[in-house]
Amino acid sequence: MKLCAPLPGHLDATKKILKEEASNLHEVFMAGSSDYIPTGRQALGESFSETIEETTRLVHEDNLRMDVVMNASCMGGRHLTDEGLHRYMSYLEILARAGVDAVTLADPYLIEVASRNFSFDVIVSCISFVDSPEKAIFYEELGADGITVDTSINRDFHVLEAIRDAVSCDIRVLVNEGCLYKCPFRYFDFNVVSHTSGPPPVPKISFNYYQRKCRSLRVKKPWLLMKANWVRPEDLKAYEEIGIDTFKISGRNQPVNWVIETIKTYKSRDFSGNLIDLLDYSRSMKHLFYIPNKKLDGAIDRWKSCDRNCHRCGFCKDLTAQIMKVYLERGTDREMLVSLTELNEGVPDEYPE
Amino acid sequence: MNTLNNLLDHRGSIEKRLMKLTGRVIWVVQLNLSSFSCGCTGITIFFAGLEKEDVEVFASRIVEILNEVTASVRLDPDIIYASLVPGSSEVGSISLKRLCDECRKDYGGDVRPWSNISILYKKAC
Ligand code: SF4
Repeated sequence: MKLCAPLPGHLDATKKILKEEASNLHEVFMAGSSDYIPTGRQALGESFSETIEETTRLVHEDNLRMDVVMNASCMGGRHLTDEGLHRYMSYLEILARAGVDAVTLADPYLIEVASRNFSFDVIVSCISFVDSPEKAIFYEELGADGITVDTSINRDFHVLEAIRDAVSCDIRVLVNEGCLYKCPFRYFDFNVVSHTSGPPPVPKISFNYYQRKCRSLRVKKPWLLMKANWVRPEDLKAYEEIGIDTFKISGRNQPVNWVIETIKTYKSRDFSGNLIDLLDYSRSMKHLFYIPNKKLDGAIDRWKSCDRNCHRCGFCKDLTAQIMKVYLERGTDREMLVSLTELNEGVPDEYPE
Repeated sequence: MNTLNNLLDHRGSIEKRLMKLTGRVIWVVQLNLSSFSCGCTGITIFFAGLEKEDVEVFASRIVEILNEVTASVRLDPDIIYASLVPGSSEVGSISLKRLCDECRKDYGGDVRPWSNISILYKKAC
């Protein structure tokens, strides 16, 4: 197993993660500077060139690979202007001088430019939505050394096997992003974040419709959490059986201790807690829902062979009704967990309505 | 201090009672004691899973629940209103406010000051 893990960006965090988990890792990644190229996640701090250089040095001391992520889905066409291209090229040169081993990009043009002009590996981001052998071949021919597949095919073993068969570059699966299966907001939200996490002009958005709607959909239809694109630590072997052994842990905006615990968990391939606690996006929902991970043993056999016609199937919805619980009065003396079925029969409490 | 200790109880209690009222999962993501630079004070409750239709159908029950649960804060709100995510049916938050003079003018008339709010309660002036 080759595990790739996020670095939140500040050097203290890097040192702590490396000290505790270097032996469990193959590669680490952090966001590039938003002054140059935006990323697919809201940047929390500034990744100055010096920070990336120092981080790379520390990472290399532990014999790990360093990947810098600059996977915006939209750059407003800047990269297709002379000035913009010059700016991106000079940043890629800074990264090359810093000694990074890989750069993760989403835009096909930048992928081609980077792979033709630099010796570091170029990894295709999951935001390039590689969901077929044809697309994988396209990116490999463009010069990609690795492809993080579209998370919506994380459980589609038929397509994963076909992609593995079609290309010889490294295939990566993002195991814990936690986004909705075939998320209808995905392109739009990544486009918004690309602009809010990038160089000026930065739009001052007053609310993020996509993220709010995603959250309330999960509250209203909790089974969407079950169908989301996560991979349990126990199920990694199913991917190794089809020749995919590079697993990427999502979470560069999560706290350091969580990153460390999540690395340990995936390395040990064993987790007894609330599955939602492993997810990057939507982790805060662990305060509302409880999915006992161990009760999901064997579900992958169904997911491996299902045809994604959920409206005719109902397996995930039934499984949710059987095992998912809801917290009531979380954080108080009266905290309790009730099943969704109990909840549908009426909230058990002392309040008359 | 007592008020702060009660905030978790308030959050949990509102969430549970709204689940009971609507018959489905409602998430109170956050409950904040708020003060604003204009002079308003109050409580702001952020939701996921609550719809415009819920607050319209159950307006009086929701007002009762909010007033009962937050009685210990002794807020005595001038207004309770739901803010919708603009252009959608999604309730982003419900605010209980004691209004400053300027906002009293905005909320005091016959017309809602903004199109994305739904007023659940207004104290007779
Ligand atoms: S087809 Fe069935 S098993 Fe497959 S994702 Fe849909 S509900 Fe789940």
